Amino acid sequence: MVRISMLIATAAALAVFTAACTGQPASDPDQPEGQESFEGDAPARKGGEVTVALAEEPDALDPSIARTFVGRIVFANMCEKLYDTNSELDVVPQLAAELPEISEDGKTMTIPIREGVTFNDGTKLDAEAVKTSIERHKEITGSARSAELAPVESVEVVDPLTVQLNLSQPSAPLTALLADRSGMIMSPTQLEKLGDNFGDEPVCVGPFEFAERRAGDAIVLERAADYYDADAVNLDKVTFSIIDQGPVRAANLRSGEVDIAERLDTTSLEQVESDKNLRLYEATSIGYQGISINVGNVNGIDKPFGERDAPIASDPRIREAFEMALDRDAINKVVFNGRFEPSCSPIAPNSEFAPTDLDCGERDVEGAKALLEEAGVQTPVPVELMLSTDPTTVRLGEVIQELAKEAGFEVKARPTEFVSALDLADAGEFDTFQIGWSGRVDPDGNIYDFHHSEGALNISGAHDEEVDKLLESARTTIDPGQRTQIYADVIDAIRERRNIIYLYHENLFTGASADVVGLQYHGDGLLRLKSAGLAAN
Amino acid sequence: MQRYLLKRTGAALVALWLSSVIVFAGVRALPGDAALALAGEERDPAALAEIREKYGLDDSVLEQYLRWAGLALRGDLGESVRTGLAVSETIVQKLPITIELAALSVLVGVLIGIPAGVIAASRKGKSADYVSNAVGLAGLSIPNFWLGLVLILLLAVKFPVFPASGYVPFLENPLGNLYNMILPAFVLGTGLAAVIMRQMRSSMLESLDTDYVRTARAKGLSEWSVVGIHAFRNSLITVVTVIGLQLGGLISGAVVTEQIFVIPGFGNLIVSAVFQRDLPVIQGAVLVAAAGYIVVNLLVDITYSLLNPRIRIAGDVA
Repeated sequence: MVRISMLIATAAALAVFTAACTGQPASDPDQPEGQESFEGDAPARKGGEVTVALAEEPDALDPSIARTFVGRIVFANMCEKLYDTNSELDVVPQLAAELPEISEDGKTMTIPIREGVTFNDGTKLDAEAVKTSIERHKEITGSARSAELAPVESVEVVDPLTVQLNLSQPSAPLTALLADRSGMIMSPTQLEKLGDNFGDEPVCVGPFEFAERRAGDAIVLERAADYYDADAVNLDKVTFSIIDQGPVRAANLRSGEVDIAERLDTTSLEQVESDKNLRLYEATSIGYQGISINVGNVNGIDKPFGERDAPIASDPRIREAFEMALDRDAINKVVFNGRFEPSCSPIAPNSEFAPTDLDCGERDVEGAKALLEEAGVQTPVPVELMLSTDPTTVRLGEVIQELAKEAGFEVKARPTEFVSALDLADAGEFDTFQIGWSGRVDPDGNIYDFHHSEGALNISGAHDEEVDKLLESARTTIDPGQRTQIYADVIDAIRERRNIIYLYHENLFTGASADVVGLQYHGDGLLRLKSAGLAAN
Repeated sequence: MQRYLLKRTGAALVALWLSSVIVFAGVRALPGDAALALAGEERDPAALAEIREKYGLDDSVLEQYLRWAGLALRGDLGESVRTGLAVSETIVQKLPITIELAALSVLVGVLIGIPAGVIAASRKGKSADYVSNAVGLAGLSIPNFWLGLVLILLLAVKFPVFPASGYVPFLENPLGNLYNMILPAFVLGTGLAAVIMRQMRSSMLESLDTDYVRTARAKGLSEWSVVGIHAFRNSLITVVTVIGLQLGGLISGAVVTEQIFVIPGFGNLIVSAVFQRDLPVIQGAVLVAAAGYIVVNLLVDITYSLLNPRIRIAGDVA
């Protein structure tokens, strides 16, 4: 399969070459860069349907146990949340009437609920329904929400349209978490009916309602009759079709088989851009990509830390030399056609918490050599780099190999199938690992679990009381200004420690037919089809 | 005869059981389990433990196997760890799709391979022979996924004659179904066509060299009836055997073809289940596939023994 996808990429490259030789329509200079609305777009007409190609199969369509990114794309169109994020990544009310009111001590959160809203089965949305959903998120076996909602001790119904969350400690990230699956409210009638099998036929509040799911094939949504903002909805039907091979997704978009294709490979972008019937939507991901270095995970992720004798683990100067040997701009140009954003921060540049004066430094081969000499290590320094098996990542590995070689590192790439790689990473059986994170709106979601000594995803086995304290205070500090300052300190500290070397933020690319108007696509990578439609005329 | 049948059926059941054990052990040998695949990015150890408990992934392998086998004997193949949907239902949905694809591919293989083989044999050493051979070699050598992508880009994107992908249920829209299946069946059928062509050519050459063909010619029969009737009919027997042998290859070829053309079939199901370590799905699918092979083999054995009593007697003695 791995070989298959590499060969497919080669075949696609060949085919692109052939297409280029036979002459593609010239690219339209007036076409704006991807953005959520295009000037001069015709208004959408009522009715019609679109097919969206998803890059993977979503897991269970149950907000309490769902874990995949791709599942959130489907939820974004049928399960509204207490809060949502807008194109600026600000948290805004959705099913809540207003932003939450937080008590002086930060330990109670009062949320007013939007009036006159019904679920897609006609059940009324009220405070009781919100309580039921949040409690289920916390308690159901196999919950993927229990860690996020851990600060919530109890949920109280104040009046039919107000709930109060009682917290064990102040929690700054909580509002943003209620703008994701933790804030999705499920129909209590359907919960009563299906119990743990809610995901077989989910009913929420949303512009579309679940109609059908064919495993490994498609998920079909239809316009919801009971939706409170039904006038804004244009489409009658949305079909999410699962097409996991990137080149195949692009080919289906170009042939018109699908109207929208998410997460296009950087190698497919030129074809989409040069096609007059298609448009490219672009958004900078709120996640990041980097290299995790195993500095102390010798026994497994939730076991005691230990000392590793690999050179890159034992001496911070060697890690510094490794970073100095890399060239983020060259990586971006060579591997990703310059389409991504080089960066040395876990927080995406479009976040209000992003550090403004971050200096990632230039590549410095001589400096790196000098550091290695100072560390007194024998060169070439061996480094094993575990990475995923897709052709682009393998190419990334090769470029890292070449860059590091000049400074005196011998990088051995170890392409590993994804689930196997996660297993090895959790067990501590790796030296360095190229992995990223799809990103969360609140910076806590991008940092805490990876850098706190007790973080659930601390595969590098980093442990440092200073950093732990900073991360904890960032969680309980509500004032955004103060939090930004704390995160600036956190980033300085973890960049010094270098248990993760951040490389770049991905840009997310979605292609769509030029007939599709009103599609919303932000940095969270979700496709919001509520007000999307087919152009009139 | 009865004893022979009992013996063969017994052996088939043992083979079925062995295949389920091998797959169970094989999937366990892969690093990472369904819980990890499911959790992916968000693999908080506490959450992983809960998923493992829910699906009994922490129990001993033997316990898990016995629990699975016990339910399977009662016809319950469990539910998918990833999607929570019933495995047996999923298989029933997907199996006919792959069977249809395989059947259409055989049709493509026969329609191309047999005439090409006959022409090559009857024009041996002439340009038609060389052309057929070259095309046959290409058919054998070109990988399915490459041919598939090139055809999509050529016949769906550049000159939109066929759909790039997709599947329409036969009962919903028979014509649409066939229209969607043309390209995938062609891609999957070309390899088979090449094998059939080569087989047809060599057995035709053999037949054309026999005494009865010489006699037919001597009788003054037309070239058409010598080649098209006498030699052709005798060559068909080996070709039919070859098609039977290639069926297994077709099913594995379908895995790749289904990925390229986004056909929600059996092959696609198995591939994604392996990547997701979705054990109930892998187990169920392999069990059904193995049962299919075993039943076909059993039927072939029985047919042979009916046709040839010596096999039956040998079976009784042994």
